[in-house]
This record gives sequence, C-alpha cells and structure tokens, in this order.
Amino acid sequence: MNTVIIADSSFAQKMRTYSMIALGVGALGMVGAAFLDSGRFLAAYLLGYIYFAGITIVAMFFATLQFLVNAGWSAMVRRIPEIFAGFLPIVLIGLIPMIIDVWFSHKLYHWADPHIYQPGPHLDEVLASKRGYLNPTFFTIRLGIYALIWFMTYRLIIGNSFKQDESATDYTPTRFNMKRSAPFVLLFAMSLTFAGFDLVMSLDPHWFSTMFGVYFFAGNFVSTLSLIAIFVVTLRRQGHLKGITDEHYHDIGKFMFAFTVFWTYITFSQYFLIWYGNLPEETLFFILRAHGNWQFLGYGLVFGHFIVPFVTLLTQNNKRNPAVLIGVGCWILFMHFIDLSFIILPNFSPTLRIGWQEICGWLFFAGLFFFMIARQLATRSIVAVNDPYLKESLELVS
Amino acid sequence: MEATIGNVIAVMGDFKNPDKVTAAAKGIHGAGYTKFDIYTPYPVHGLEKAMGMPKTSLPKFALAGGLFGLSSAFALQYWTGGIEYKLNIGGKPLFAPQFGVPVFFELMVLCTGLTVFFTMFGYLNRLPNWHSKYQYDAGFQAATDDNFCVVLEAEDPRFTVETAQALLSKLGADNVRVVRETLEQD
Repeated sequence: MNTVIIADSSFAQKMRTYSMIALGVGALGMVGAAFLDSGRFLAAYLLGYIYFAGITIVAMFFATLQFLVNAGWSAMVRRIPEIFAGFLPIVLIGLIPMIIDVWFSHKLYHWADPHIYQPGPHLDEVLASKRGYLNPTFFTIRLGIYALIWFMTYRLIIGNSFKQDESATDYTPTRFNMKRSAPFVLLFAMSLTFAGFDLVMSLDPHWFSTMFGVYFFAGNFVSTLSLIAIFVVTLRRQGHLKGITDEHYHDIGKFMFAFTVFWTYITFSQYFLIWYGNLPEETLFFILRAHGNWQFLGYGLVFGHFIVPFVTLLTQNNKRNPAVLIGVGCWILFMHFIDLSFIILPNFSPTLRIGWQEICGWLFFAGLFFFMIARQLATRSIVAVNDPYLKESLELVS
Repeated sequence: MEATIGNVIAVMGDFKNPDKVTAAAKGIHGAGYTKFDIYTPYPVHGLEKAMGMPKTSLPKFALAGGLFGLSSAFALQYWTGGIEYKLNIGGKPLFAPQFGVPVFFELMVLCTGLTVFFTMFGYLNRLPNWHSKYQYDAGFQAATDDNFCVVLEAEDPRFTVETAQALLSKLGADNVRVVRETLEQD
C-alpha cells in the first residue's frame, strides 16, 4: 500500500489557517494577561499547557499500548494519536515557565518561596516538613526526568512506528515496539502520575491525595480518546481514511464510554474517601471547591462529564453513529476544560473566575497544538501502511 | 437410512466453511425465509446479520433491571437510615447521596446482572428446555465438531419440502436431507 499523506487536503489547510488564527488571538491575549496580572497569566498558561500536554502524552501512551497488547483493531486508527505526539517538542519547551516560576517568581508554586521556611511569622511547618521533596532543585530534576521519558518514548516507539512506513518487508521497527513497549507503559504511568503531583497537585502544597495521579490520567485519557474520535470521523467523512467502518467507530465509542465511567469512578472515589475521612488536611481541597460559586462547576462536572456522555454512549446505535461521536467528543473536550479549571483555578481565586485570560491560555495552546499537527500532516502518512495488523484492522468485525 | 414415518420437521443441509454458510444465510434470508437456523461449531462473525436476525431485546431488560436496582438501593438506604432507624454515625447526615453511591452502584450492577442472566437463559434461550428436536440427526450433531448445519424449519409459512430442498441445493449445501419427527430413540 502507498502512504496516505494529506498535506494538500482542505482538512490540513483549514487546520493550518484556523490554528494560526487561534494562536494569534491566544498569544495576544496572553501578552495582555501577563501585563495585567502575572499570577493569573501563569495560571492560564498552566491550564492551557496541562490540557494539551496531557493529550499529547496520553496519545503516546495509547499508541504504545496498542503495540504492547498486539492490538489488531486499532492499526487503522493508531496513526492519529501518533500524529498528536508531534506536539511533544512544545510540551518539553513549555515546562520552562514552570521551572522559572519555582526559581524566581513563586506565583504558581508558593512552596518554592524560601521566605516561608525562615523562622518567624511566615514559617510554614507543614511545608517545611515536605521540603525534602518540594524544593526547586528536585522539582527541576524531576521535570527533566519526565521530559527524558517522554522524549525517549517519542523517539523510540513513535519513531519506530513511522519508520515502519518505509519498508513492507523488514519488520524490525514493529518487532522492537512489540517487544519493548512494556517498560515504556510503566514509565508513562510513573511519569504522568508524578507530573500530575508536581505540576498540578503542588499548586495547593498542603493538600495531598494518593489518587490524584490516576484522576489526572483518567481525565486526560477520555479527552484524548474524544479527540481521536473527532479526527477519525472527520478524516473518514472527507474520504481520507477509507478503511474506517462503523466497527471502528463502535470500538472507539466503547473506549470513550468505558473511560467516561472510569473517570467518574476515580473522581468519585477520591471525593468519597475525603468526604468520609473528614480530615482537615484532606478536606481543604473540597472546602474551597464546594463552597462559593466554584461548586457550580463541581455539579456541572457530575452532569456534564458523567451523565451526559454516559447516557449518550450507552446504546450501540449511538456508538456507531459518527455524528453522535463528534458531538460527544466535543462535549467531553469542553468538560475536560471545565474539569482542569476546577482543579487548577480555585488555587488562585476563591470565587469563580474563568475569563478571557483563561480562554486565551487555552486558545494559545490549542493553536500551537493544531499548528504542530498540521505540520505533521505535511509529511506523515495518516495510515500505518506497513503495519502487520492493518489487514486485520480493515476486516474488523466487533 | 432416512426414516419415512413421522411428520417432516425440517430440511437440512451441510456446509464445510463459515464463508459459504454466511453466503447461504444471505440467500435464505433473501428468499424470504424467517424460520430457519444455522448451527456452527463456533461463533461466526456477521452470521446473525446475514440471517437478518432482529437485534436482541436483552438491553431493554438490562436497563429495566438496572433502574430497579438503583431505585431500590436509594429506597433501602433512605428508609433504613433516614426514617426507620435513625442512627448518628460520626456526625454524618442520616442519609446523604455521598455514602449512598457504593450501594447504588452495587445493587444496580447486581440487579442488572441477575436480570440479564435469567432473561437470557430462561426467557430468550428457553431454558430449562434441554433438547432440540433435531438432535438425532448426524449432521446436526456434527455441528459441535466441524459441520455448519443449516436447518429450514417446517414451521415457516413458505416451507414445502421441494422448494426447501431446491433452495439448499442451489446454495451449494451438501447432503440435503429431509428430517422427520423422531418419537423414540434409544
């Protein structure tokens, strides 16, 4: 089979145009936000960064997972998350403002402020006892380790998958991926969990939750699946992925459904244990979010992130319906923004505050993300043409 | 060796491969038969679609079972904790949806599972009916081993022995045979 490169399609061209517009508007807004209130600017930056970095890293994990389990169904679909992984350079560069913040400004991570460790009225004993882990040096080292893990995954696993496009007889790259993907999945689990702890949970350094890593993963995973579904349906509709059938839609729909339930299960488990235990060092997270008008986002998540996708994706007909998949996919991506706002933003404002700054932060990264994807589409085949499982995937019956 | 007593209950034919039997299923469905069945050694993907079988009604039963379980879990916890036996445990509310959720979930899953189990085996698959009226046919028995056995049932309104035999022969079935009611078998 020949590679399928859609650089000149209206899909890639539109993506390039719209991503430039989003990037321009977002960058302008971010500059304005930085002049008005640098703390709020950094929070908006972090929100947009986490949103798209999470999708990129989970997309790499998704592709690695397909190799680990020798999945047959997904050979037609797997190239989409691999193209998302093309955002990784920005993910790595985007860590720099966080590192600058812990060393110099301390607007995001106030545990990095050395004043609170000096004896006197500002001394924070709780944070002093956590200082062995939460200090700028170790924070920087940890971010470096995550960056290295993600970079290695991209170079080896995703790189090998692209390398397989060059030869239909030599299966060394795919064979390597199938043999060696297990440690990468393990490293992914560790790196995403600890990145969630470091980048997001430590915004509120007094609070801790051992479930936070998996909570962070679940939200990112379901939104990555939604974005994959949107891409697959759109590309199929425009005639680029001819091998995609209702069976693939059905499998992606089942995945989205399952991980909507998984997100709910994890989110509720975290809330439930904290509610039941009623310990002050744990409840402070929910006291901030369950009082005042942040609580409306919380109730919104119960309905929007769980009940709406759950009921919609419950029936077989809806999972096989491309229009429904696109609708639910966009809805989940919107709810993921609300979810991350609910986690991140209350640390910076006790009352509900989502304004143009936060939206511009998201737009800025959305523009960068789709710009990088459009660049990938210029050279990369959207079908893994020499994948040994491609035939099985084309004949998929679920 | 074909028995000549007893009423005709079916015309059967054998196939040796899943693709051919799927094609034959399309042909039989296309000819307008509704009462026919295909017995295979293992599940053949796409066969139920080729046969034109309607979608199973099992999900509706599952939904009903789940809603019943959910509402009974709510009622159980609300009534026991909030009305009948009020007990203050650690200053928690007498009833709150937060602590009710695990029981909502468990009872919902339990009721759904039991409903699906009993509906599928007891109602849709007609247990406890342990036999099939075709079970003395050698070709039918071979469907547990390596045979794909097509059965055109005599109950079908279109059924006549001649047309059924002609249809199966046309579709390429081997060993087309008339099966009669067996009253006793040792």
